[in-house]
Amino acid sequence: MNDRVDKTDVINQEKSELAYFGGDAVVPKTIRKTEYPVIRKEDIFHVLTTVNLSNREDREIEKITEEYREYVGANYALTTASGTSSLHIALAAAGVREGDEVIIPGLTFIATAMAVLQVKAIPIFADIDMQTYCIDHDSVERLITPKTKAIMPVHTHGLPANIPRLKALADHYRLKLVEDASHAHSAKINDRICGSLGDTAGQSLMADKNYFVGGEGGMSFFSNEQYYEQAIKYLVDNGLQYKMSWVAAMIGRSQLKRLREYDAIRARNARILSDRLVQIGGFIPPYVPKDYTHSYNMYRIKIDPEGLGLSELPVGLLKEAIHHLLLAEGVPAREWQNVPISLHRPFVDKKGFGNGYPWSQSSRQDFGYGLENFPNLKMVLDSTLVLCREMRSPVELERIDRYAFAFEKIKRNKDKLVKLTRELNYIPCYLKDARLG
Amino acid sequence: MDKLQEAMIVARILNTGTIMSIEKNERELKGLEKSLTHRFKYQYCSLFNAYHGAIQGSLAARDLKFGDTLRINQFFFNKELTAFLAHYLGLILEKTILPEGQLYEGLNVINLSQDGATGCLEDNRQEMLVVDFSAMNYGSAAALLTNDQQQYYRAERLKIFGEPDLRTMWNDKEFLPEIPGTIQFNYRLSPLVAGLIKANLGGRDE
Repeated sequence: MNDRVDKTDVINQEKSELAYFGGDAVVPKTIRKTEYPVIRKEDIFHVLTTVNLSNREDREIEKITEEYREYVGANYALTTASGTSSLHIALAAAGVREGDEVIIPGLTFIATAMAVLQVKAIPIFADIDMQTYCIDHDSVERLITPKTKAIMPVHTHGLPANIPRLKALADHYRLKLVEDASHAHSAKINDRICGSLGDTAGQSLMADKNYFVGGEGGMSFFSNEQYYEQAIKYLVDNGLQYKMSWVAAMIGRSQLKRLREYDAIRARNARILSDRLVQIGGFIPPYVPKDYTHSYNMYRIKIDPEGLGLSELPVGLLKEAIHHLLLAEGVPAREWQNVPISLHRPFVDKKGFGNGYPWSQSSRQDFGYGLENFPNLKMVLDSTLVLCREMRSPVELERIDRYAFAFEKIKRNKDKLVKLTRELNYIPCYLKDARLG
Repeated sequence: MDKLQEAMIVARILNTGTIMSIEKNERELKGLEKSLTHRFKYQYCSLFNAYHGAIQGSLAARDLKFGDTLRINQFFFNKELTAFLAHYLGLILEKTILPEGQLYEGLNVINLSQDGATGCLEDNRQEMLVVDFSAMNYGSAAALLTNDQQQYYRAERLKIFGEPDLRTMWNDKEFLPEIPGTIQFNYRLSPLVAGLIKANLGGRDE
């Protein structure tokens, strides 16, 4: 089966119907699957040679820790069993403890918030910036209390958070800055790679990340030896085995050699798609500030009703209709998150470790978890769609061309888009059951 | 199992392209679960990437909470385990005398190395079993087995992207409204490690 889009397979769909209404899909079913992770013969050769070594367990762990630490530019590092555990350790190393508050963004994967609970602190959720989708500085400052110990920004989708501004805030209030760099492999501010920007950092190396190991894995980074030693002590004191398997590490070592190659392809694909979306109008690509490098673990597209010439329609309804149309064209756009993390069951039920712990340690009556506290996030959820694996995979140029054409096709068929909005039984995504991704 | 066989198993799984635990068509984890339920004669199996995770899973299965008391076999009273149970999970521990292999009332624990020894399980079968695979030297790995579906779901609820989370995501609807959301950990086992463990247990490598 041909799973790659061929440049000879020309798009000739200028007069064709939208696939949702019976026309031909821009990306036919037979070529929709993208290959990720990319396994090549170099990985197989590395496995065949490494498995045979007598000291493979220690060797692979030590080497991946050093090789990736050096790549990131962090001073110290510790491999872990998962991204979540890397964040847990990063927080513990920074001195976060029982009853402390940690400010994190409301738009992230649940692991960010779970890591805060795991260190027995209480997550306090901030709203996000409408342009970058990262944590909003002003929202963070409003949420700081005497119990706040740390700020944990997420480099959302691969765009670095505004670390200089957040660091200034952290310094002013004597807080720790702990990065969640799980989307941001190779992402940078100027020449500094995410993971090396805060006091400590955690990063997932799970097999669906831009850089990954062979399954589950993570790495914590520390800016100084004291944080590193504190992490080791914390693990021993709490009886936690958060060790990465050498089998996973082995694959990660092999993949690291090709990370720059894949980064370049991702950057090229994002640049091409962004340029096309701007030309088409009505679809706003990710914003990247000057001196920032976005690594495009995910690619979030904003629907612009005015740009589509449909400003009379609610953006949420348009988004839902466009979502259906894109899926039919073979562009697997997603919502990714559909509610703020604070509306997920664990934070609504607040059972924690049991008996409401660690929330039971707080004197707060209101933790600020209600939807009304996230006006920006609500608008973003209502007005954007995300390409995930499609941009993360180092896919061929022709596929990106087809994705761009799908958006163009939708805009050309505005009457059908409007027709679909009338047929949908629209419920805003943030009113539905919370799901993880 | 010799090293060449191990390398072949890893290469095979890599060539399937499915090395992520949450892929819908992932087979290694499911294969290991099936192998273990058949071998140890329990209905449900929950896999963990850490021995302490499987122990925590057993406690979640029984709905033990922070501040509860747990009577554990004095034989298991070692520094690492007591640090985890008491200091980290906040349980009040009491020593008791139980048969070998039984950690607490209702839970047996065995350590499975490459020779597959099962110890004295048959004499003292409990409602749950934790099998620790760490001695196989593929990394920390363990399984929790039970015949009780609610216990299984509570243990899986402890895992980010455990069974309840996956079903909710695929079906777009809360799967287990009757079991509250708790703290969660990433205790997911990697398919590569699961494939190696399964082969060591004598499971057929497909």
